[in-house]
Amino acid sequence: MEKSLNPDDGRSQNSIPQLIKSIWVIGNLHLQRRYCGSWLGAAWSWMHPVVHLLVLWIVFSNLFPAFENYFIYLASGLLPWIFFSQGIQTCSTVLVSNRNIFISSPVSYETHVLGTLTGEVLHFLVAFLLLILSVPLLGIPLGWHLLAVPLFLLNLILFTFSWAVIISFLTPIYRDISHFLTLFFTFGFWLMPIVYHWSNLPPPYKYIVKYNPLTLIISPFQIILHGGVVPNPHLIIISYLTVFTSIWLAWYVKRQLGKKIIYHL
Amino acid sequence: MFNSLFPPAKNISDGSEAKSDVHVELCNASIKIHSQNNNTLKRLLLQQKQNAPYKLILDSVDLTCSRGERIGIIGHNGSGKSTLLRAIAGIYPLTSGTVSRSGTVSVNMERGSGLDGELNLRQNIQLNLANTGRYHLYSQQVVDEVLHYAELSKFSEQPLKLLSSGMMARLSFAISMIGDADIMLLDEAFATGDAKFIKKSTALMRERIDSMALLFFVSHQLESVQETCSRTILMANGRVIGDGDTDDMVREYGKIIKSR
Repeated sequence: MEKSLNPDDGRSQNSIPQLIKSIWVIGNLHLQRRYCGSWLGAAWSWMHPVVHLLVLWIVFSNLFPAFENYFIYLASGLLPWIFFSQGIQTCSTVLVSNRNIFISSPVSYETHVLGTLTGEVLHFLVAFLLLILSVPLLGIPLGWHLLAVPLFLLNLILFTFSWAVIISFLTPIYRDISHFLTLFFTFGFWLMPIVYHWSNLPPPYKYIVKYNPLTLIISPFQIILHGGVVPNPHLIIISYLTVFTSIWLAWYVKRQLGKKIIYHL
Repeated sequence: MFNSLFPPAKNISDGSEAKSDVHVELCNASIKIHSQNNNTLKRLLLQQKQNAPYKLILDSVDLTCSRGERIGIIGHNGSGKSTLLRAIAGIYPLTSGTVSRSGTVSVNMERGSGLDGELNLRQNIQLNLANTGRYHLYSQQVVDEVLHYAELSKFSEQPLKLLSSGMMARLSFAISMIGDADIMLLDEAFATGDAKFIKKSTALMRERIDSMALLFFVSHQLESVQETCSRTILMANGRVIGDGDTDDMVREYGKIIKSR
């Protein structure tokens, strides 16, 4: 009979299956809402990455003519990057924009953050599946190494979920964050080895690019799809450690801010 | 037709052991917040301290409420009535003191939150249940019953934004009635819609109130509070300044209003 309350913020905790259903419904309706009334519907969400990809491919394939299968290298880095940056930017304002819900119902904050991100995950997975299917058409043979893709997809999704929670909890308190994110992602894109390979850079920049946490999450896709091999164990371990650190950080931020966040909405 | 959506009234004094422990208890409950939110990244990065003064929006509230009580909460705007409800619901965590609660809670405030103008009525009912943590109550039958009760079945596939404000209010009311609980927290809105629907929704709300083991009712309509509640709490500046018989508290509140 005693209502189960979350010890971190006093909000209700549904059972895990109920939580998953709520997240799925919020994500699904979030997508339907975004494209209802538009002619192309959900296809608009693939238009952005496709156009972005084509523009970068046309420009940089001419700059790096010796780069073999450049399209696959570019696409396998760009799609995860777009998923991460769009997911974080969309989730950054979830708590603020749903204020009316949170002040009138003891529902957990994470349900809304994860629900909103679920829509982005679905789009990304469809786009990434299309990329994998196009790999043999572009001359790279399929192989057992592709079985490692789900492992790193899970890594990327958990990493993005963690940072979505962190940013969405910080934004109500520090409102500049949503503006800062736009700048960060514009700048951050060029710090990622997406359009170029990190080995082309001179030493000080090479290490910054190679060891930035996002590179550790995104570059395994380039290694698998473009390189045709499974990333080495060293990269797998560091990549997973990065994700576990992000999950811990998200849990810590939620624990620290969970109680006061409602007064900032 | 409405039995699954709006369960029949329970006998409050049936003495069943499972429900006998329904209670709410606040002990020295206080909520202190900054009077203005002036956090910025600049303040964080330069490690400047937050210098906005604190404000007590709930001040040392002691309250014990048990099964069978109908408790009205009255006071001026900003006196802390809704804050008290939110503290009981677990929406507002306390800065100090404790709140203990036994029994499931139905929060009925800010109706219409969790709805989206772009989605149709069916989708909105589904979304609202997910948004408010009640998705376990979702089924097609519940959706049909809500639409039927709100007299909006023929608009079920229309976007919410095309409804009139009265129709939206009817839908919000019907959605807010989904489910059952031991404790109801009701803020202001009692019934809604046009004259016919007000009669219908008032009757349903009365039935729901009768079925609740414990009711907290915030209202500025003192007659409604007198009709519904036997005990009333009078609040001012986040403090409980009176707690007792409803007629006495309404009289007390009347004196405060006259003296202002």
